[in-house]
Amino acid sequence: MKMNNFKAFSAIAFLWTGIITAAETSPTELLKASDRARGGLLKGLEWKVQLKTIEAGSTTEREFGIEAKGDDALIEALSPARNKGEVYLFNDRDMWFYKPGLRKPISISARQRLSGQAANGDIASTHYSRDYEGSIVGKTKIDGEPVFILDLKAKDKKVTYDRIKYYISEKSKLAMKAEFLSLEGEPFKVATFKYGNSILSSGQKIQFISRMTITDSKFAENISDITYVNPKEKDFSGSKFNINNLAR
Amino acid sequence: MPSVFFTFIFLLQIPAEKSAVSDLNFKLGLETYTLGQYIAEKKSTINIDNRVFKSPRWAGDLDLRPSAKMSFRDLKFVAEPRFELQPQWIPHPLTKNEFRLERNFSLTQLYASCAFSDALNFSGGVQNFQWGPAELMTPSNPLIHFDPRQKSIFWVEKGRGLLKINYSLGENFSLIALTQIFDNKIPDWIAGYDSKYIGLLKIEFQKGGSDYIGLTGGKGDKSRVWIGEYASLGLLDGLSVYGDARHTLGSDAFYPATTQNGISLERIKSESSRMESLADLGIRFDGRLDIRGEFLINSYGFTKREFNSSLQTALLSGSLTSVESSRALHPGLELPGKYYLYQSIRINDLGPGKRITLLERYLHSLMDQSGIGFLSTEIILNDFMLAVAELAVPRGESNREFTLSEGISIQAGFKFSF
Repeated sequence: MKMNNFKAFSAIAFLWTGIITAAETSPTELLKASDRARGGLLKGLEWKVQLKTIEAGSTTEREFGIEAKGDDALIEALSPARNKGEVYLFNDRDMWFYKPGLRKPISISARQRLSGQAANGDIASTHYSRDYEGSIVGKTKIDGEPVFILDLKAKDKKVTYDRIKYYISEKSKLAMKAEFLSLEGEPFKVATFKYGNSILSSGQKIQFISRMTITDSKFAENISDITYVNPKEKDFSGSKFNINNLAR
Repeated sequence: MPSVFFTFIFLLQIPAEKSAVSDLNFKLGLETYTLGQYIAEKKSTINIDNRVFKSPRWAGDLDLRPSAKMSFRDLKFVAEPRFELQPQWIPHPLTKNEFRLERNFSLTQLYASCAFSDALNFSGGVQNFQWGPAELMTPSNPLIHFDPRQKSIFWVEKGRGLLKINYSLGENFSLIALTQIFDNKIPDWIAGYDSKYIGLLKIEFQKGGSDYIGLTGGKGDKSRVWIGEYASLGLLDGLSVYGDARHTLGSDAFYPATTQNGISLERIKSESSRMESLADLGIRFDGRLDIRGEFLINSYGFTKREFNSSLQTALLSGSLTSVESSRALHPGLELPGKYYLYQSIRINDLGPGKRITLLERYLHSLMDQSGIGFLSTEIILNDFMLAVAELAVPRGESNREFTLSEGISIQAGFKFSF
């Protein structure tokens, strides 16, 4: 009986601790911290992305060079050879595409499929704190690590996903998992994140994303694996991200 | 020449970025098209014995498009030369058939650019600078003129010799001053009467990807002052409407006029103070399919009677070797008629492995109800090789705008990328 009382007390204490911690933790602050490790909100940063897609039994690989500053990002396809020279420009939530042979850049949607499970918006820097209204809806554990569960609702139709269930580590403030939800609230893709990279920003060492794995919720064999390589802080001129200066 | 080619291929095997200094980037690329083309004969009273247009029946194309880009911090150099080798068999049913080997070397781009600050960017050299939301043409940009061949997926627009300064106030506002200092050997748009030097100012305000507005204005050494505007407005998710227009007082184009010597082409609207306009209005749906519909209004254009009269001058001259007769085909009009309809559909990720892209386009003249449709496809074969094909089908009676010289044509081959 005493044991049961103890369990009940422990459960209530844990719940209250969670609620108090969640109440003290602002969703915006959590999102800002997690964005920072996914390329958002940094001064100037460059890295490479290797995107491996397994879909319906066939595998494709692509590589991109990414330069990001503030709300802007410039992404250039490096391989395979047939895609070389294709350029994606992000200005805030807007996205432009240019490839050799096109007369001029055309506006495209961040939601469009890039390769396999990865949408155009998945390979750029992440700005969920800017693009989503977040609220903490609970807590759970991933790999034994306590995480906040955030319900993210898009502020604008231009963002990559309408709604995301986002899992952010209580301790590191890094995103551990994302469930991308349909309008009916059902997850249609699930992403997990690893942070094996680090960058030096203004003398401070910051953990940086090294891998994002996106899996189709219905067909688990369909996977897009995004590997982030060699991230480093770099100073760019803002004019690099101006559509009128886009490399052609 | 082969040694240069193989040296270039060798250089491509070097990793994309080799930097002695960490900020120095060097990238090489090569696109190669090998194509075969068949163009069916089209009976036409102005092209008897194929003397006027000299259209090939069979043609091949070896098209090499190397590129080199070097960047060092905010400085960038771009070089994109182009080599073409085109064997052509040209039939002349009444006289002797002709075999021709066309060799062309041109510069698509060769320029340097430098960002002096977050706001100020300068570029100079041969460069291809275009803007605007419309697909068919960009009237607010009189540097680039409409060419019927540009609808082909194999078309490459040659850059112009430009000096360009872009001043950006924040992310949303750009002021661009540019001047064309040479035309990069681009054939006259107005035969024998084309501007070589053009000055242009462009102001653009962006609210978002589908929401922007721009104003242009300028003058060429032989052309009159123009003003232009373009705008795009997003209505719903993926749905936008847009427009692009240019206006002048009077027109620099040549129109048919009756003179003592019969019909000749004259600049009869050059003294006019009436406002002439060219406007391309469109709607776009961009989702799994990219669908566009556009309506072109061209007050500069010929009436049907003027169009027929201008063709008479070509018919009378029998060839296009003289400036006067070539004006019949290059009178200084983006398109000869007054009203056109255009639509296009792009479908990506078709077929097994989502390796096929299909592109369908159709341009229709409301002047004489003729038109031309294109169906193009690209099929990914492997990481560096695509199969490409394009079918062009003109529609309408003989001697109409899109049925003057050529019948159905098909072009197919391979694109290699390194």
